[in-house]
Amino acid sequence: MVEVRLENITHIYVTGRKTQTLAVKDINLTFPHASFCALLGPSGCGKTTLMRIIAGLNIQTSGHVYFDQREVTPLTPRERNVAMVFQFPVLYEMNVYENIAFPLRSVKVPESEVKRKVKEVAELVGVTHILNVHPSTLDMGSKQKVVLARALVREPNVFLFDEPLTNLDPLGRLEMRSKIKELQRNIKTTMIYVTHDQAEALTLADKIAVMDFGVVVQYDEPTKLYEHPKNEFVGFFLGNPGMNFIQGTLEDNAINFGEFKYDVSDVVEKLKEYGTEFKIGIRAEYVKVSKKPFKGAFKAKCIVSEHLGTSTLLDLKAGDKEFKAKLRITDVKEGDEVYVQFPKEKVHIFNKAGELII
Amino acid sequence: MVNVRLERVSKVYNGKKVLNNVDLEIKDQSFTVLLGPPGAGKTTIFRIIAGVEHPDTGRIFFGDKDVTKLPPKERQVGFVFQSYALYPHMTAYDNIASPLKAAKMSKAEIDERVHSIAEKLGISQVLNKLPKEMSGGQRQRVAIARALVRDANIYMLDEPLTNVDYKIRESMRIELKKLLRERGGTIAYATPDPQEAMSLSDYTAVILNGVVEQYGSMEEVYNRPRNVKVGFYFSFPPMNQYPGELVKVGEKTFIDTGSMKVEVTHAMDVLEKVNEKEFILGIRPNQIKLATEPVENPLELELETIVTEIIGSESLVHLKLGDGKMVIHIPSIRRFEPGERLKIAFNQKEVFIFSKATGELVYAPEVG
Repeated sequence: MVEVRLENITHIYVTGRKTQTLAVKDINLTFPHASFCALLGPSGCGKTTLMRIIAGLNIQTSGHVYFDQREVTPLTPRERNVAMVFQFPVLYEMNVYENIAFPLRSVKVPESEVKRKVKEVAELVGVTHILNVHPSTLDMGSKQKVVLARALVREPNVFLFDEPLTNLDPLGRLEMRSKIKELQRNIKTTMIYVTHDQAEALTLADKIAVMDFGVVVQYDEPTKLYEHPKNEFVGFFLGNPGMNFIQGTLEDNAINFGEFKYDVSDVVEKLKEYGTEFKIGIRAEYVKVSKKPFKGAFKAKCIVSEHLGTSTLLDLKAGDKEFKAKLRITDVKEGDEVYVQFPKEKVHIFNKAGELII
Repeated sequence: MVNVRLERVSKVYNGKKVLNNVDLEIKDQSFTVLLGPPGAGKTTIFRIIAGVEHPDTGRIFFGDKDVTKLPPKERQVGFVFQSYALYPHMTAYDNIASPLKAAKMSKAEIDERVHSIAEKLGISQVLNKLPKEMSGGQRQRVAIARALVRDANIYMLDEPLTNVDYKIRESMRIELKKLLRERGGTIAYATPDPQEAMSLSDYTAVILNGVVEQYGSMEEVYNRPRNVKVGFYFSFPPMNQYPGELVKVGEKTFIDTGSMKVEVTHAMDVLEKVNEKEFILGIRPNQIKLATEPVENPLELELETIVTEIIGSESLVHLKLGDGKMVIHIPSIRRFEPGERLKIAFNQKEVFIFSKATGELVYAPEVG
């Protein structure tokens, strides 16, 4: 139960005799006490490096790591008392009970206490029914649960997860995701979760640090990130599909996209400070689509209609601008003409470089 | 261009029956998805069609021709593996060209075909690179290009998007759909992901434990799953299931699951025919709405939240129902906290009914 604080963390890998790679750059982040935070980004963004630095598996090139007030940089992973769960579950050649008991045995906890604690975490994680089973017969999901239980039994300061669900099948992933979430509610330990999968981050985390090219782009609550991305990268990376970004030119009181316009008369003075080229950002589920004309709507053509069971995803095109719309039920088919509107309260305006203005 | 047909194909590995009497027809010029969890036998079916694996019993036909004994290179199939399987020492260009070289095509024609397919897949700029110099997404595109570059009787893609980052998967699914339609030919595509099956397929074969549980047009299989297993698997998120008993209250008939009573009077005709008392109700999470939305023939429930999962731009709320749970789908980002109580409702006429004894479908809601 600690607050983890990163101060000006920079890490450079020496990749050759003369080549170096900057993995993370000048990171400042605080993971509050008993919170669940995620590091989210595409592969190569530096998230795993950052996690390894927190664990003590890598020592940063510069900067400081604090657990509460204490600087832990000189401490080994064991001394930091962090528990790690990786992509591939590693279990010992002994039954599940013994696997979970292992960390306790190695510090000579009395047998009655071992029994009590193993039982307790096994129940929390949901592996009570397989305590006598040998891990080799278990599926990936169950193995990962055993790893989780074994980590839990040590009562670590911090839990670190590195893409623990990547190798599970969709059903196993779903189950494990709810398991971890439930666990976080029950035990109040700081958890840091590394993933490239936004669904996991949005589901699990209280706060998410979105990373790209070694820097933290935005650190915020899930719904804030989703609804108010600071730039194009965050808007596109979060959400399925990512936010639509459409580029146009400011003319008089509107941004002109060729075949349609978006009225900005209320903010035109502010926009003028940023030049003439802008991008508007809107999420696919907020795009209004109808087969009949309605007030304020412009015409577009449906290029692809993709049925996804819970919803239908449309690829729409107006002039040379393409964007997506997500509808619950629709009879819009490929080739159809439709009418489209972007509701004002759901539109964000970005500059040409993709940084949020309004 | 031919129909590809498997006739009573069985295969045993290490004493385990991985395929059990599989009958399957992949229609000429169709897009057929083999949907099933890992280990269901999808890859084995592909390997048998390709000829790199032989069935213990049963036969394989390309059109009218029995190819069971034909070696792989005489079958002319295009194959994309889950794990890319590119030649590591060859550039993307040479990888893509390899099947054409093997077919002794002229240099000029090879060059034209490689460039044309590379352009369609957006990998023209990496043609001179080695696999290790490319990203995962680019490698998979090269593997797809290599399979599609030749003329084949059938193109088989074995979970081509499983190992690709989800953000790339999202755009590649649509690209692949466009490309494959444009390319034409007979396409078989294996995936564990029901959403991919919905999005891509003309025909869907649901394969569970080495058995083709159901085959038909995608809509047919989705709207009329033959049994509980198919209903559960061909649904994302999986279908909620509740066993219950038939009870009559005056003129009305209900199925009582212990934690809720669902009216099924509208299905009495078919329920009477099967002459059973116990059934399983199946409700897809997207059929259940927050009670603030209008629902016809509603059954309303107030349930406690266990956990909310946010997937992509949608939310799944797991609610406590009796000793079990009910998962509902909300098409936006909403995070209900554990313990929070929610009023939900579903249309009782939209519920699937299966026989408890056999698991077979008894009643499927009409598609509106």
